[in-house]
Amino acid sequence: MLSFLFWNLNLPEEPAFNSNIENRLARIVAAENVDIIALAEARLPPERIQSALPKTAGHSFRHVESASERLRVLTRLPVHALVPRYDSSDGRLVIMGVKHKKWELLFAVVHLQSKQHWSERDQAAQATIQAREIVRQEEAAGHARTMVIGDFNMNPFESGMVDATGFHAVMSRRVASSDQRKVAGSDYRFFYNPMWGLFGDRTAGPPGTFYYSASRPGEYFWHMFDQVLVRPELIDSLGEVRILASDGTETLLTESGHPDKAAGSDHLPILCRLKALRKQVKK
Amino acid sequence: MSVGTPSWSEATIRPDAQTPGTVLHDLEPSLNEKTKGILQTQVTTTFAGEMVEHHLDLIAPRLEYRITLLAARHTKDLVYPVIIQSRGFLPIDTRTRVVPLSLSAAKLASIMQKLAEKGIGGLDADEQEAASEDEFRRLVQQVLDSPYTISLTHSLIARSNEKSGNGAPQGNPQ
Repeated sequence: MLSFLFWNLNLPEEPAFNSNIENRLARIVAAENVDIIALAEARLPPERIQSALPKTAGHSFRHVESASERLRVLTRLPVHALVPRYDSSDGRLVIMGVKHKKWELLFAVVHLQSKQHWSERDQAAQATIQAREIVRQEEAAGHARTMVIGDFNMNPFESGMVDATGFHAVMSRRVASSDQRKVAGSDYRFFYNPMWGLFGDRTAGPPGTFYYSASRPGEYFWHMFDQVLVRPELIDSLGEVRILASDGTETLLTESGHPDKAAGSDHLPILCRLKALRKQVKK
Repeated sequence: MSVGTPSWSEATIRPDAQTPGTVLHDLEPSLNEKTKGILQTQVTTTFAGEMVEHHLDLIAPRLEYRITLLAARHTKDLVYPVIIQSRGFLPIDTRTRVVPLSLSAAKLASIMQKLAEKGIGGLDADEQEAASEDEFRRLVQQVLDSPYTISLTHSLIARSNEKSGNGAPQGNPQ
């Protein structure tokens, strides 16, 4: 089992040493037995995050070098298990190759532009560019065992997430398992988006990953900006996917049940696990 | 006072004007030749609705690594003005601050970063706008000559050489 954690820490500036945030992160990592951590808006020196993280079976976490300052990836896997493959010019997309034991996959981390500055149309255009880049990396790698995780700043139902030219991420494993579809003469591969299944109160865990309330006629309140997507090749490997409401010891929510920004972040972390499948091994 | 007949100036009209995509494609072979294949460049173009975005990518084949050095975007029909985005436009301290700072220095850096991120005239700090081909060429050159690009290319070449176990270029690996 490989365990992945993504968390947008939303740190406006470098916090004081021994702040809650790195301790909370460390508790999650220990409680959930995380192998690979991806962080957005983590304005902390990597060595400071590393030093807070637990050592498990003699393995300490190391920062995987990347040109992005927006996104940080840390892992306790061996040095050559996680190798940078692509960095975008704005640091909002990082793609790494993961090769460890029975796993060989592409691991992409995103932090797309905020709704504060970009319209849904702008975001959809950017999603097209990011999705195209992922396809290029898949072509270079010779496989499409790809996981994308991060803060998309879009809900799963928005254009950039569902359009064939965008991430093309659908709610149904069965639909995604058809692998691709043709639109206007071009083939587009699917992603499966398990986050659809975590919306609202009738599921385990919080209703979304981000809460926002404004005095305007149309307001969802809860959003699912933080998501994980997998290509059809990884659907059968996908184990649990959860929005975390606790760091294992303390809640990450306020009394009203919203993400507790004062004690953590205004985003909730997401966790997912991949089971190894024999067919993933390259012969 | 009489005013002369308005005319098109040579500075604004270029009969040989080229698109941003063509200008970037012209750059492709030179780095490969200069580094004997250790570093390569590739221009990729993505159409997203009415927007077109070109990426100038640096590729280090021995490291199996690629990074987009600059992105240039314009609308489908009007290729100028073109917005160019690159870390080469950022001041060094907003780009590479990874070491722990004292609290006061951290606060100052944070304020500077926020100002830089806000940018001027609707552009982010890592973006510039070119109204013409000449301006575009000048800004691309600014990115190529920036300390960021120099550090990046030197790092990739050095790491590629280290990986091949040789300090000297090995020729085109592909």
